[in-house]
Amino acid sequence: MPMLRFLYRKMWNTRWLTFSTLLGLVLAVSFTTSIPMYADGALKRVVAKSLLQQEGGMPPGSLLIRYQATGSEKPDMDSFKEVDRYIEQEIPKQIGFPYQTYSVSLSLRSAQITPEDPSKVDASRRRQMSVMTMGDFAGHAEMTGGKLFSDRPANGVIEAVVLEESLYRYDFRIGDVFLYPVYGGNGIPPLKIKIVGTYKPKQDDDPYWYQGLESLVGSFVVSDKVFKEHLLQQLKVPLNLANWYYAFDLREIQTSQLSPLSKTLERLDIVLYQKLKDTKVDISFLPMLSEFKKQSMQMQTLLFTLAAPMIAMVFYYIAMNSRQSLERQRTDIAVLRSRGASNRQIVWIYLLEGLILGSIALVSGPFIGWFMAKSIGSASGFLTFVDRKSIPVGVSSDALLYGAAAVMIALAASVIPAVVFARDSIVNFKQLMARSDRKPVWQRWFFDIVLLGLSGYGWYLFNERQFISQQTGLTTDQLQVQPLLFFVPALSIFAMGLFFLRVFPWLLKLCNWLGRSFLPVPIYLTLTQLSRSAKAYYPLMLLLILTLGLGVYNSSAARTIDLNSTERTLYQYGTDVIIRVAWEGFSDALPQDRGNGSGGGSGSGGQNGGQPGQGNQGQGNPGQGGPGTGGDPGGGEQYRPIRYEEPPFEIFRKLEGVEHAARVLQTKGNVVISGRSTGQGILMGIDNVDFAEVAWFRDDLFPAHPNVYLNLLGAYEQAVIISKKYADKYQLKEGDLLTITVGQEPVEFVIVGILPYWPSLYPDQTPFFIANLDYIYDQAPIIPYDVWLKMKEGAKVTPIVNELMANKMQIVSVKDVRNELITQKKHPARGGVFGILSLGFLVSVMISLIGYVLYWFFNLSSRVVQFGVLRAMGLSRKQLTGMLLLEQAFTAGLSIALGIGIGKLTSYLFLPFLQTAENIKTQVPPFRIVFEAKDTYQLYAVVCFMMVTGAVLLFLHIRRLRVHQAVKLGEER
Amino acid sequence: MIHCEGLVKIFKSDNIEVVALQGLNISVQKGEMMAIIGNSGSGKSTLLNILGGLDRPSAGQVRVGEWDLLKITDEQLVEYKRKTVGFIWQNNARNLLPYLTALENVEMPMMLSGLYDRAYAKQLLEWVGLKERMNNRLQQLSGGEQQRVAIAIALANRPSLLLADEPTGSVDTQTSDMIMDIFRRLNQELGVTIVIVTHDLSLAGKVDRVVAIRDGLTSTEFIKRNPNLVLAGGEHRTGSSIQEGHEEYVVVDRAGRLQIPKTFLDALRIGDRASMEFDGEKIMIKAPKSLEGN
Repeated sequence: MPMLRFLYRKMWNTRWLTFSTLLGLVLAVSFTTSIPMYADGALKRVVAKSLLQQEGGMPPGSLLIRYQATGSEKPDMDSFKEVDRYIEQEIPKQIGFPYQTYSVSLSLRSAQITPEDPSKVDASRRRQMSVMTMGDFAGHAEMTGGKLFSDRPANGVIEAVVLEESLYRYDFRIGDVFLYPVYGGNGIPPLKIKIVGTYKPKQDDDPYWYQGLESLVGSFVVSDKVFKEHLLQQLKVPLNLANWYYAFDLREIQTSQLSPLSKTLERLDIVLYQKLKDTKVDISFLPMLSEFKKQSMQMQTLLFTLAAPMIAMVFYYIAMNSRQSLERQRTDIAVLRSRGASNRQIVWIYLLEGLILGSIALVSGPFIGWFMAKSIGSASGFLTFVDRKSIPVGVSSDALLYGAAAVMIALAASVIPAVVFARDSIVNFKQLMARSDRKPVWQRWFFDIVLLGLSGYGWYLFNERQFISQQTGLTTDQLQVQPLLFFVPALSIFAMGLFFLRVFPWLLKLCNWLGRSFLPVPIYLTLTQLSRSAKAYYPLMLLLILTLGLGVYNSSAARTIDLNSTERTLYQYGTDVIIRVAWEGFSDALPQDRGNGSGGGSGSGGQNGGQPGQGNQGQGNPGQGGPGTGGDPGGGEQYRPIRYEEPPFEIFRKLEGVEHAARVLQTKGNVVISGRSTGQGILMGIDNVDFAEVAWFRDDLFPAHPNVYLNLLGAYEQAVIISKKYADKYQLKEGDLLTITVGQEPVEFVIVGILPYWPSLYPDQTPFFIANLDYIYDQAPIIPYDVWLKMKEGAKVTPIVNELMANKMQIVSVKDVRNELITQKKHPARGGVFGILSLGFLVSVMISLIGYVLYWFFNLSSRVVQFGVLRAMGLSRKQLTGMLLLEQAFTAGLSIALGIGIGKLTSYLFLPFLQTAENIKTQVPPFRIVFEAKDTYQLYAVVCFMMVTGAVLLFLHIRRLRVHQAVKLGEER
Repeated sequence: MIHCEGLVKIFKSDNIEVVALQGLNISVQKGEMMAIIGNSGSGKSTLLNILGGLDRPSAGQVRVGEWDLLKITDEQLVEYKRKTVGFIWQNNARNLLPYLTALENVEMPMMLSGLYDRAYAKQLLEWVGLKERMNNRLQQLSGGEQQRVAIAIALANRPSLLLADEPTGSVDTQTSDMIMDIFRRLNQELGVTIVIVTHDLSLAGKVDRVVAIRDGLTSTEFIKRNPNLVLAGGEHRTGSSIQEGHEEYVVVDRAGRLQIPKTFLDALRIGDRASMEFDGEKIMIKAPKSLEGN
């Protein structure tokens, strides 16, 4: 108890210190918890998506348990009751999720029924019916005729209802009585079943009707009570089939629940079989769970690898902070020790303090973490957060576990040094102080060199593409991020930072040596101070270098990923919106080909499926990469020219929100050079002026401005631009002639330009030929073209579609690149990557700022005596301030410059590896590394803010310094 | 109370080895108030640190009360520090926790040993004359006041031995006198054994016995003369206060060795050997006789 009191006094009287430690802890906890939280939220989103996708079939949380009697076997009624009870009561508890539907259906074997009174009902019809009951039938079905069955048989007649459909199919009428022969029930007389009504589902999409109505057509539905008590118990009719169906609502599922849930499900089969033979789980959501599990694991790994350097930095900050504060309290510890505090007491004091702060952090951290996870979820790019429907984020036990781990590590970081310090009494401590000029451990053991070597090796492996086999598995989306590509650079930034710190004192010594004769005293003093106690500045400098280096690298990485995937998509589409309308086509020969012509192009990415005569072109268009290929049933069968009618094009130009429109024809053609066929190529016919307005060009892809080439097209009617690969292969030059067969018509072209890339075309797969559309139409039959639209900023596609419809144009396909980009940006993994990177950067900047200020605070406090002496020696306050500012410039300024430099260097070294082996082929246009000026400015702004804040705080602190006090208390207080 | 024999302390650092105490002998009686003087580097602070349980001796015998400080375990050392010894440094940074008030500082050792007694803490502060400033932060106290707080802290656990390392080193004469008065009062009223380390001879003059340490060994002892028996003559030098009221003795250790002051040696140009004569009454040490005429 007195200890607590002492601790309270200590904490309260050093509240600033305590507060900063707490802040660090809270940050660490919130950052570490935010990642599992986000992963969890993202999982939920994935779950929600899967839920939507499976809308057609059974609900995703379906669990169907089935008992099917084999042969003429009769289930033991007691076991049956037990299994029924088990399924109804135990399973929901075990699964632990709410369920939307629980439905039991029991049925007898279906049998040939005969009317009781053949005179009334046509007995010659085959009627195969079964008798069944469904739990809570009345709650889900609506009577459409007659009445509901009664709960007890009247005079041995069992009342039943049937689907409306059955009436027509089996020629039933309400009131009819049928005889149902009991199969395998030796000696049981046929059951008399009277149809008393018809029903239909109250709601068609109710999962209660999971079996589908078709299977219910052939069933008499009777009362549950009648079925169980009368049929099963009294008459001992053998049960044939029992289905128990649950539709669980899995939307609230959490990552941590996946494993136990799968185990429960796996165990279920065994338990059920033990209770009643031939009972088994028919449909379960186990595969879905494992899919979720896989995805969430991948996500978590990805995010954690990305966050690892940042988390490490948070811990580094905590360790640095607590170490500094401990250093400061070392004298106090020594005083306590010499006043009779036992080792245990001191450790206990610090442990208790850590525990108190840790638990505060653990309570408040997750809230901030929650907020952080929300922001991760709303990230659309590096340091850009959009306000969109954010992902559901919840606190899970996993997240708390991670938070607790963070606290534990932080505790260890502060308590272990305390244990070491606690060994020293004041006397040992002073003795140690006298020998503090030892180099830090990492310098003595050359850790920096080792780390440099290690990251060099990492670079080598990347270069050799060794790491590529370890895919993240996120192949389905557009984004492939190698977690290691963020880890190894972080390592190398760290290593380079350390290496620089090794050089730093030499640099200072050099400066000192060079300037010793002419430098004014304050500068000389600064340099001496710095070079003598360089070790003391290492933590701060390292923190700054790491923060900025990682910041630069991450921002550039995020930008690069973002830009390249955007450009890839833009290139793939070529323009904002591509619309294909159905063309009226008339075949000369057979009328049945008409439909082929008008509808054949559906889904093909610019390839005209209906265009006949090009051999097997209907097999698809491998060069497009677009969704789907034109499955043309008629293609390749026989040649029949179809004459198309071009729909009015002017409409497109005047559509709402359209800036420009262009006609773009894409078709395959056989290319012939000097009488020799060279295989197929894609011929694109364009109107050069229109095309220049609508197409997306990346300028650096072309030797000259793209418009130069388009002008060339305009200069000659038969001009063609060909792909560079193709030109190289056949040694073609500008001015050469070539012939392309379009629609069975050879068309002659003159090469005017050779280009490596062209929007929407992939020369690595098929060579491309760009020619004038009008010329092609002159020479060859008209083939449908696509309309490329350049949209105004933010213009929507829907009004266009509506307008076209109003103009009686049938739209075959509309592709909007902006939609695609938005979809990409919304992908949880991608958002997560950007979110983590941005958030990590913000956190690290925050940490740097706090670390910076605290560091100087401690540093100044510990040098009060020195300042007192300097002031006493006649240094003016101005000179003192100048000296400190110079010191800052030398340490912080240098580290900032270095951090940015190292970050850029690392980006240039490692970012090219972002294109993995797999997507290097589809990576057209080629990869490029970008540094957005905006990001750099943001970085600078943050850094400036940091420096200014730091300097102001320092200045205030210097003003407040009571030098005489320090001199009075003596020593380094 | 204190009994040291052949006490050796060796400091080792990376490449140097310093023998701070080279077999020192000293005894202090219970209830005595004595001072240890010596030049800096003579080992007096080392001795005090060992006595205070802050440093461990390398060899020899040290007994303080019931404790053998050479063989003491860490747990016992804690116990020793809590119950037996109180320590005052010249430097207040070592005495006090700057962020606590005077009273809280005095209560701190009590809290550590679990014998929390606020009334006694207040009483202690009253004793050292800081009743009015009890709840002031240390920064608001003057150097002398801080030093007095340090005394109160040292007494917080009612120790039987009080060690003070240059307790008046950084205060003016008036405060110094006040502090010495407090010590004397404590010595007389509570019966606390007090050992003061100082290089201030005037301060040393105010205690009953002064032991001088030179090069890690006790060399000279000054014992206060009975003020009633003032002996004329027998004084070697005048001007230094200690010689005025004290008689100076040379310490002879168990093996019969004694230290000759360096000034004597220099005056006679005695190098590594000397001649010694005994005439039945006196022992005379002379410069070595020259042999073979050189």
